[in-house]
This record gives sequence, structure tokens and C-alpha cells, in this order.
Amino acid sequence: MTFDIRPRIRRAFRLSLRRPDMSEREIEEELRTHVALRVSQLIERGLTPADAERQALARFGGSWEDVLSRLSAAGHVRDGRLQARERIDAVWGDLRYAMRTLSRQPAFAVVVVLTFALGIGANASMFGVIDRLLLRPPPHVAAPGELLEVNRVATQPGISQMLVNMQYPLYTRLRADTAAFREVAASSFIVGLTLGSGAGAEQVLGVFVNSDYFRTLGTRPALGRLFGSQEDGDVPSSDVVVLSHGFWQRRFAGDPSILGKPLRVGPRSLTVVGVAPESFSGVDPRRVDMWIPINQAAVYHLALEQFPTHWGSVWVRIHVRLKPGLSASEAAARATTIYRSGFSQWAGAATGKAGGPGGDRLALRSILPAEQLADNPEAKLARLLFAVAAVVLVIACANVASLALARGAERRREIAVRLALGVSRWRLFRMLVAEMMVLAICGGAIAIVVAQWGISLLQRTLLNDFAWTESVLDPRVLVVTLGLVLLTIVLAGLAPALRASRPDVVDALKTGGREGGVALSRVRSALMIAQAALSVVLIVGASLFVQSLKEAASVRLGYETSRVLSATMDVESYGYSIPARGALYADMRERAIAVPGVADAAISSTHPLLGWRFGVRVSVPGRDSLPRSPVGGPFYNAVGAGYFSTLGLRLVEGRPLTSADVSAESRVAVVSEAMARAYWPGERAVDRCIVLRGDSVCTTVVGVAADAKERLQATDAPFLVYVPLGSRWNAGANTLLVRSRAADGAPLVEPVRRAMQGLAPDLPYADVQSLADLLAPEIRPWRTAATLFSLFGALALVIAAGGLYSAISYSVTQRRHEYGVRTALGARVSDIVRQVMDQGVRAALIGLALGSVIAFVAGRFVETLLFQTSPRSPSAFAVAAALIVIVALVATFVPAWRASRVDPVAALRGD
Amino acid sequence: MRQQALSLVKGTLDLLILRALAWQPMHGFEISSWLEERSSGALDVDDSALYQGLYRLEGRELIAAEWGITENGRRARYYKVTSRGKAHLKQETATWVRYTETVTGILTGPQEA
Repeated sequence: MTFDIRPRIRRAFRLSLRRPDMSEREIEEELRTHVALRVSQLIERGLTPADAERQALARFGGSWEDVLSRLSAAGHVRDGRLQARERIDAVWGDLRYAMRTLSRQPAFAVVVVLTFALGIGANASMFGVIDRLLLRPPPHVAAPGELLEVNRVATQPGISQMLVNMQYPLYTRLRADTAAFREVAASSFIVGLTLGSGAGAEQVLGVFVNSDYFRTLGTRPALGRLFGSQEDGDVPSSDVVVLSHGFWQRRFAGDPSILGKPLRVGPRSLTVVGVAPESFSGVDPRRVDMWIPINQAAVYHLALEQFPTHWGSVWVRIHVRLKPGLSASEAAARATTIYRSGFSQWAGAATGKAGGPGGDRLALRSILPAEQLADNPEAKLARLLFAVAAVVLVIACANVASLALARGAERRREIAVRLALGVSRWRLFRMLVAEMMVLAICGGAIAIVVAQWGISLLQRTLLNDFAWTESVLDPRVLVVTLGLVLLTIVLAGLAPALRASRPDVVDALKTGGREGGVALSRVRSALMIAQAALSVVLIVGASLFVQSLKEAASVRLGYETSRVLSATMDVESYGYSIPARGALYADMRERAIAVPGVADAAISSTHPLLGWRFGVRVSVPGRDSLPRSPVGGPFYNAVGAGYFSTLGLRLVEGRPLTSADVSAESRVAVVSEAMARAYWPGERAVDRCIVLRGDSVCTTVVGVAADAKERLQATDAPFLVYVPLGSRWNAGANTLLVRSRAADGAPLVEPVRRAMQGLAPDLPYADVQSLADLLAPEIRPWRTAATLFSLFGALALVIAAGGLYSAISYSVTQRRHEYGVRTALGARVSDIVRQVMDQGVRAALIGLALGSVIAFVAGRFVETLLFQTSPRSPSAFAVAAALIVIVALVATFVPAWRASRVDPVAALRGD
Repeated sequence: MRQQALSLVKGTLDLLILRALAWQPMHGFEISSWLEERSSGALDVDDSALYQGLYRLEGRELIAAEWGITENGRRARYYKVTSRGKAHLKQETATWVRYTETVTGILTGPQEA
């Protein structure tokens, strides 16, 4: 018996276990041997050759052809089974072999797995957020592609604005046009809705919806019923409420007996009739707690009393489904006609003269999130961060590829031996890819944990007012993670495997490993440069956003924000008259001042940040025309004693309004700086006479207050007149401002709230927040971008530094011999250090140049997301340059130092 | 009385082939001769069934085959038991013995009145 190479040896060296298809020819040969041996046996026993042959064939039980075809079939079955098993064995064998090889170099394996875990995890996290925000249609909305939102395009010379809020009567008229609009939904977010009353009151997020709302969206209830024809009409008769699934779970622990129970919402008691399906939040992804029939609107907002016929206030969003066969543009044209005629009729009747909506026209837009959020800055930011995460993954892959290339060079000799033994290149390639597969799969598994953490972090910080589903990890994220794993295998594994599986066999066997990679290979240098360049781009981005955040946080609003709390209570809808409201706020002020830690408190009719405005006519005796502010006005704010000191608003001239002014309702006023400067440029404003609301007497200006900004990005300040709070001003008391003794007012929020809430048993929710917290959502985009960009930038830098370090150390190890010789020949430490560091630092500098160019060009994409920061800010580029140079120096110095310490004797003796 | 050749109980052929190959690697004709010899001609093994059994066992990786040269210079396919085959043989032999003992016990035991 002879065998070429024994199966065990073949196995040991990963040679192919050749189990050839036993062709029919081979089966025939086997059987012929058998017959021949049988014939000679029978002849030996005394049979004639002819009889022997006949009997030998007879023992097969059939004709020769018959036997042959039967046994060929059996042979085919066997071959099929063996091949299938061999294929499985081969894959499993590759993986097992890969694991064994990797376990011999645990440091390499751990570094690669962690690199993958971070890279893939960051991407899966960003995908989880982007998916819900931009890619997925709203859940539980049937045929979302057919649902259209009615928008108003307001055109003024030079500006075209898309407005989403519409008039209620427009909704009524569109609904009446049944020839064009199959279904019409109207909805409106409710501001400051109170659940419960007195001490247990809390604020909830509600939406007014029409009776057809749920039917138009095609949503089915999770429990009970949704709104229907019972809730039709404009009369506030439907005292019912539908709860969101999340709110039902959170507040009532999913108790089904909630149906039919009363719920105190604002001033009314509403009956719970149903629960919406899980994660349904309407068309928007914003969190909703409950839906209330829109005919209740006037109950909750006195300002909406005339709402069924009032074209003057825009507060509803309208969604429609069209009749089949009607195009969106035809329907939009029809809607525009309806809008213009309705508005003109009302304007004519209301003011006695014809007036209209001017050039406004209506447009119908798809509700699909990708189209809706196309120009939402938060969505833009999320997309940008997704791109950034992708860059981090590319850097990670480059790093792993570089490491794998180094390993490939180290294993040249081993691979050459295998090739010489006849292992096919394809098989070798498979073995090398299998290693990357094991690493990527391990990395992917950890990445899922990273993503779970990352997504919930992003949901809590970046987008906490969105309706997220309870489970953080959904199948789509898992599928994407798997896709990313495959992508990393391709990006990081293919090139090194291809390269390693075709070394020059003879060369490698002859010279051995030592001269395997004399200098850094060109590919590795290119990877290092690319990593450095991408890191520079990310760091520039991070610095730009950090700078924006700093700018945004240091904007001078003119008053203090963290020390001052504002307290508002929506008592209007509870039927409080203006005098009653004044008395209530006066009581609340006394209570608040009694709270330990409170320095002072003051009442005003507007709010420094919420944009409430009350206009007032101002004239100056002896002047025909007065300058106007580009942002409107003049407005007035009726304030109580201590207003300026409570808010920390500086008086640039004169004196503030005193308690004597307030109690006497004196005809005195403080004007804003912008107004004073415009009215009396270069002159004193104090003691001037202004006439308010066409009064017959003067109101004396007693002081000028610094301009108070409402928005971070506000450029011009409105003209503002502060007057003593009193019966002459029907804006009444609306806000209580509380000043804390400590610099941070946040600890006072709850005590002040309790003090106010305890005043009467049936008060609505007292909304107490520090001005800094109210401002936080405005700063949030920059805070998020700065945080995540810095995080990703740091990650990229660490990964790139690791790559640089390992590349240089590897090259040092390879050239130990050379450094030994040099040292022996008298090279100085500094020469060797400089020579080694030169390679890495040069790559970093080329990368810096390249990355700066990319960042410079890419800057315009982030320009709109920055706050008072130029995307070409030199300091951002300087930061990136400094960081990259420092990191390159540190990462290359360690291996360089080691190279200079090579013991010449050991190095020369070695090998 | 001349004993009639026994036809094989289903499934026993595989076991017998494994037993034969446990002795030493053999080609098909050698297995056939070995079985005849061991049973003193009492077992009637159809040659076609033998090869089908061999291919079946090979497909299950209980035996492995390789081409070799016989003593008188012919090319023949040699079969040997794999380690999986050995384990299988051991286990199946034990089952077979227990089974036949039980059946024999019932068949030849004292008859009840």
C-alpha cells in the first residue's frame, strides 16, 4: 500500500484532503478487480473459467450493467455526503485554526477586537438614532407615503418660508371639499398642560386632535377606542381622552381597568376611552402623553375662544389623504384657492376692508421623516455625527489592516513553507480571512453592548423629548451591526490576506524572517497618513463645535440665568380674572420670598425667554415719526417691585421702578437701551416725556435698562417699555421671577414649586425652572456636537496613535539587527532615535497637511451648524496640528528609544 | 442435514464490515472472503449489497478508502475503519449482543404450561 502524503499530515498542514469523486470509471475498476479475484478463486476450487466467470457475476445478483448503475448511484450519494461534510469541516477548521493562531498572540487579538468593538459600536449607535429619526416612517401610520402635510409657503420679497401651523377654519373647509380630500386630520400640541391638581399636579404633553385624526392616520387602539364621530363638531362637549401607550405604562403600570375612569386634565375631568398602540406618537417622533378632542381647545386656551371661525391665529397642523387620481400639485392648487378665499372673506368681515394672505400659497409635503426632517438642524447634526462615526470606523479598519499587514510580513516564512508544501493560495487566503472573521465577530459582539449603551445615552442627552420605543436594540440595529462586521472584514482583512498569501516563496525561504520588512511598506505608510489625515479632520470639527459651545454659553443675555428661576402657572384656563391673577401672584411672591435661600422675587407680565409680547403705542410730544426696531415693538412689560434686581438686569441710566411706583401706579417708565438710543441718540433719556397708548398725559422716563435678549442668536434688541404693574395694564401678572442667594438656583426649584402649589388645592401645575434650564435646549445642539465630536475625535486619535506606535515598534523589531550593527559601529543614541522617529513623524505631518485641506474644504458643510464660529477658524486648525504632532512624537519616541537601547552583541548573535 | 445459507438480518451487514475492517485494512474481495471464512460459509452475502454497504459506511465517515496495490500487483481500493467507525462498532456490538441475548432468552426459555 502506498499513500502520497498521509491524511494526518495533510490535515496538520492544511493541505486539501483530496477525496476525489469516485467516478463511474473508478467504481467499475474496483468491481472488475473483485470479479477477477473471485474468478481465480473459483478456478482454484476446480471450476472451468467459463463457469467461474458466470458464478462470479451471479454473486452480484443481476446483469453487469444493472449492478454498475446501482452501485454508481450509491457512490454518488456517498460523494455528495462527503463533500458537504468536507466543506463544513473546512470552514470550522479554518475558524478553529484562526482561533489557535490568535490565542498565541493575545495582545494583537485584544487590540483588534477592542478597535472593532469601538468602531462598530459607535456606528451602530448612530444608526440606531438616525434610523428612528430619519429613515423609518412613523410607527402605526398606515400607508405613510400617501399621507401629506398641508404647509403654507409665505413669500415676502427676498424670503420664502415654509410654515407648518395653519388656521382651524382652513381645516374645516378642506374637510368640506370631499371631492379632493378623502381624509383630513388636524392636530395641535398643547403648551403647559396640567394633570391632577394641587400638590400632586404635574405637567404632561398633550395634543388636540380632530375626530378623524386616528382614522386618517390609520391607527388602531391598543385598548378601548380612539376618537370617532362621537367627538365630532366644534362644541366642547367631548370630555374624553386617549392615552399614549408609554404614558399608560409609566403612570398606570399598564392597568387595563383605566378605561372609563376620570382623569383631571387642566380644569376639566376627562374620561379615558382608549390607549394608543405602543410607540405611536402621531406623525412626529416627539413624545406625547395624551390626545384630547380639538373641540376642547377653547377650554384650555381662552385665547382660542373664536377658534372655529378665526383665521387670525395659526395653531393647527393639517394632514390629508387625497382622492385617488388627484396629484399632489392639483390638490395643493385647490387648497390654495380655498385658503385665499376663506382668508379674504374673514379679513373683509373682521376689519371692514378687503385684505388677504398676500402671496401665500399652500403646498403638500410627504410626512416621511427623511423629507420632513431634511432641514431640521438636529437631524442634520445626527447625520453629520453618523458620518463622523463612519470615519472612526474607517480609521479603525486602517489600523487593523496595518497591524495585519505587519503580521503577514512576520509570517512570510511560515506562509512560504505552506505554499511549498502545496497549500493552495485560495486556501491560504481563506485561512487569513478566517482570522479577521473571528476578530470582527468578537468585536461585533462587544459592539452590540457598546451600541446598547451608546443609543440609550444619545436618547437621553441628544434627543430626550422624542418618543423612543422601550427596547433599545431592535433587529434593524443588529442587522446593521452584522453588515458592519462584514464590511470591516472586507476593509481590514482582504488587502493583508491577498498580500500575505502571495509572497515570493523562494526568497522568503532563503532569507527567513529577518529581512522580511526592511522599511515600512508603502501600503502601511499610506494607511498611517490616511489615519492621521482623518484624525485631523475630526479634531478640527471637534474644536469648531467646542468653540461654538463656548460662544453660545458665554452669550451675554443682559441678565443672570442660573441664579434666576421663573415660575409660571396657567391659571388663565382655570378662569382667573386679571385682578384675581394679580392677587394670586402677589401671594405666590410672598410665599416664594419666605423660602430659605431665596434672595428676592418679582412679578412681571412677560417672560424673559418665552417670547410673550404685548404691543404698546408710543409717541413723543413734538415728534412726528419715531425710529422703528427691525425686530418690532415697541412692547411693554408691566413689572412689580424688585424686577430689575431680581433678574440682575443692569440700569445703564437713571433708577429702577420702586415699590412706591407700583403701589401708586405712577406714570413713570424705564425704557430699553436700544429704544433710548434710537429715540434720543447721544442724549440722556431720563426725565423725557413719552406718551403711551395715546394718553393725554406724559409718562416720565426714569431709567434706561440694558437690553435683554430672548434668544442666543438674537442680533437686534426690541424696543421695550417697563411700566409699573397695576390695573391700567391688562396684560396682568403672568410670571414670577425668583432670585437665589446661591449662584446656582436649581436646588430651589422644588421648594419654590411646593410653596406655590400649596397656595390653593385646585391650582394647575406650577412650572418652575431656572432660566439656564430653559435656555439649555437652545445650547443643546452645540453641547451635543461638541461632546460627541470630541469623543469621536479622541477615539480616532487614540486609534491612530496606537496604529502609529505599533507600526514603528514593528519596524524597530524587524530592524533590530541593523540597529545593533549601527550601535556597534558607534552610532549615537540621538542619531538612532531621530532616524526612527523620522518615519512616523513624517507620515503624521503629511497626514496633517492632507487632513487640513480636507477639513478646510469640508468646512462649508458644517457652517450652518456652528455658532458664531467660522469653519476656517485658525485656532481649530492650530489645535489639530498641535495635537497630531504631540501624539506622533509620543507614539514614535517609545519605540525609537527602544531601538537605541538594542544590545549590539545580542542582536548580532541572534537569528 | 445440510445447513441452508442464512440471509442477513437488516443492518447487520454494516456491523460485520466494520468488524472485518477492525482486524486490518482490506479491499472488497478480502472482506467478502473474510466473512465467508468466519461464518464457515453459513452467511450468504450478496456482493452488490457488500459494495453498497461499503459506500454507505464511507459516506458516514465510519470507514475511509484509498487506492493501494494487492500482493500480486493489482490496483485495489483499500478500506479502513476511522476512529468514529471504531466507536460506532463498539457501541453497536454491545447493543446487538444485548438484543440477541434477550430475543434468544425469550425464544428458548421454558415454555409456560
